[in-house]
Amino acid sequence: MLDQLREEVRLQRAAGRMDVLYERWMDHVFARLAPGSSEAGSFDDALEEAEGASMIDAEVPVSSRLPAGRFVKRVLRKAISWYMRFVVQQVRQSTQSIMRVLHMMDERLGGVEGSMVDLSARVEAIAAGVPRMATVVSPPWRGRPDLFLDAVADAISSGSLDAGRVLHAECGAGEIVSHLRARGIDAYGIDSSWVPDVTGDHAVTEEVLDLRLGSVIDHLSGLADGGLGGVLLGGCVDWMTADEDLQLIRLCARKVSTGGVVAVVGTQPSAWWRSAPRIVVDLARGRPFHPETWEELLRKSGIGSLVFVEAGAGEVEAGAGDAAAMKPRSGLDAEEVSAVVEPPGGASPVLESFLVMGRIVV
Amino acid sequence: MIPTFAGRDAIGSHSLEVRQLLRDAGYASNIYYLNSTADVSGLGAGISAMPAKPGRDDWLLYQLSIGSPAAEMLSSRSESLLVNYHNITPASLLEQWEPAVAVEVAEGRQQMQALAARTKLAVADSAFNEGELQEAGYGSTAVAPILFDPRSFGARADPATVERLGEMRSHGGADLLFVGKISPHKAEHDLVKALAVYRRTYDPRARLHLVGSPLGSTYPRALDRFIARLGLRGAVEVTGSLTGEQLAAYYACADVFVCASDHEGFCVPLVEAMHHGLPAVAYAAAAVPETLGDAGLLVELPKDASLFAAGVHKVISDGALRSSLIENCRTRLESYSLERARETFLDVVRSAVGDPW
Repeated sequence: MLDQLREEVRLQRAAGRMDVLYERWMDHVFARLAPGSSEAGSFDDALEEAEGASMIDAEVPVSSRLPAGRFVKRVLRKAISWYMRFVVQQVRQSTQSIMRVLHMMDERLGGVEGSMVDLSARVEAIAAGVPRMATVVSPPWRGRPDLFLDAVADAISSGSLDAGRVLHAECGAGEIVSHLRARGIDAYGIDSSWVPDVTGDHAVTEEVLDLRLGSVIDHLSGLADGGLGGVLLGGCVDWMTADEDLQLIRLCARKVSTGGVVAVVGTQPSAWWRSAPRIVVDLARGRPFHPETWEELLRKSGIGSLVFVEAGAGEVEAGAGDAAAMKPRSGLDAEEVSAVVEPPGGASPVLESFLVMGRIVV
Repeated sequence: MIPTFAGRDAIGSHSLEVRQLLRDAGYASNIYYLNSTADVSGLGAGISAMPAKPGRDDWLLYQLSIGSPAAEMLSSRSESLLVNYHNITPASLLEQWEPAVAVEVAEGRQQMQALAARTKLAVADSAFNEGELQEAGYGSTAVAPILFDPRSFGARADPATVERLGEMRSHGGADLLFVGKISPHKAEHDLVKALAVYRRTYDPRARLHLVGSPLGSTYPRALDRFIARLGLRGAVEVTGSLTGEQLAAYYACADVFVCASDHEGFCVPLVEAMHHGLPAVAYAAAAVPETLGDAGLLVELPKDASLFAAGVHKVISDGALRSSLIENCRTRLESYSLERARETFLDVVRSAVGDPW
């Protein structure tokens, strides 16, 4: 039975319905309420108690079980009252001074504790945010360039193959580059992180396919204007900030020669929202653009003859293609786009990827 | 001899049952106390009324559960000594919250050790307690259950309380119940934590009822603030002490009995829950596993609020498990019948004292 409970807890935690951090927070809250801790109220209680005790009564009680005792006590009290009042007056002054100091210290401590709480909250927020942000900068989903391989290759091939090399960012292990090269296109790739080569020796693959490690923005910035025959932007657009996306498009417009192809493969925001944990969606630096936004950005950057193609959600079976899901929306140069999609490899999920592609116009 | 003889107290009731048992068996038996409550003071006599010169065959059965001057007085008595140990809460669980009570229980532990040498037989009401006796140096020990009649739990449920709880239940949500002192060693705050997790994960309308009088004021105040801090004011009810009829209503309207105690020498409320056919979920601390047996779900230590909440969910939602636990409650309860307990207790006493003739 306990094993079943442990498994249940594991599943609930994996689903985010049971949160170890919440339990730790509760422990922390209760610990702070225990005696001797900062929020136990013990200081306030003690201060109140001391305040009450500082009031000293000079009138000594005279009650007695003996009838004569009451009288004797009363006489004694009256006889020494002048002395008692003198002493009590001084003690009262003394205790009141001490209480005043204690109250001032309490106020100052309250201020310090207040700022500490604020500081602690900030530190906790930053500490809590660090591991989550690490997840955000490396989202596990990407647009699927492999779905549009033939469309992109056809578009590039229909232009001049001598216009320059074609860059694929982000190239991963080089499958797309390999495919383009097989079509006679001088393609090379760049990726911001090292991707394991499932086909074998990574070093050999890098050398043969010309795969490079680095930032696509840095790489494009270093190229001569008009030096590229085309650019295929893959997964990078799914995690870059909006500013970086804009910069990327402006660079593509400058670095790709006239007539060259600029293709963007992204993920539909709706699919992205569905597949990502909410906290990641909210904090993500790569909030994805809708295809219309890319079209607008490309158009404003001087890239025309725009084509939009999207692949629907679902499972794509190897070799079966996903023609039905390909829905050319724009009539512009639609003939340049192959309607047939044949993703390499086995079945894999399609995150409603889309392709927006155009040519550099003068 | 009992330090404090109180009517609505498990050890007070036990003492009355023991006296009756011994008298029925042919022994002359009286209760002597240091303090008593008004409802039972006439059923015994003060320690000062004890015979100055006891007979050669007289025995003294001391009910040990806390430090008391009564234990000091034992050294001046010449009777053969039996100790009936009901457990003493470790001071470490109380000293942070109620230092004065912690001093008393620490003193109780010292007295327990001091009495070991002259005690002919020490009777514990659980194997867990017997282990503590042996650790304290008692050579001759035995286990005999605390004497109480589970049928006495059968008070008629107070209709007004049933109606009020029924109104709450009509809005949905499970009802979790704990009965015991509001005290640090009963760890009600761990029940509040488990409730918080349970509400977030399974049942946002679930409620927790804590029935019992407070021990001191520090822990109850912290518990109250904790409940407020977790936003559970409307979900946790701290009732204070209740009448038997009101308590029966709470048992009748609960879905599960929950126990997060760090220390229990026996835990009578677990048996009370069995009487009401109420399955329990409890952390496996101290004597709880021994008392509960298979009449509930034991959650292993260290404490884990998520695991506990999952256990509560299982007991509430798994019909087959729930039915089997309720059936186990019935069979387990039989082992606590007064007749059986009296028989065991008498056998143990006879083994030391001999027959009355």
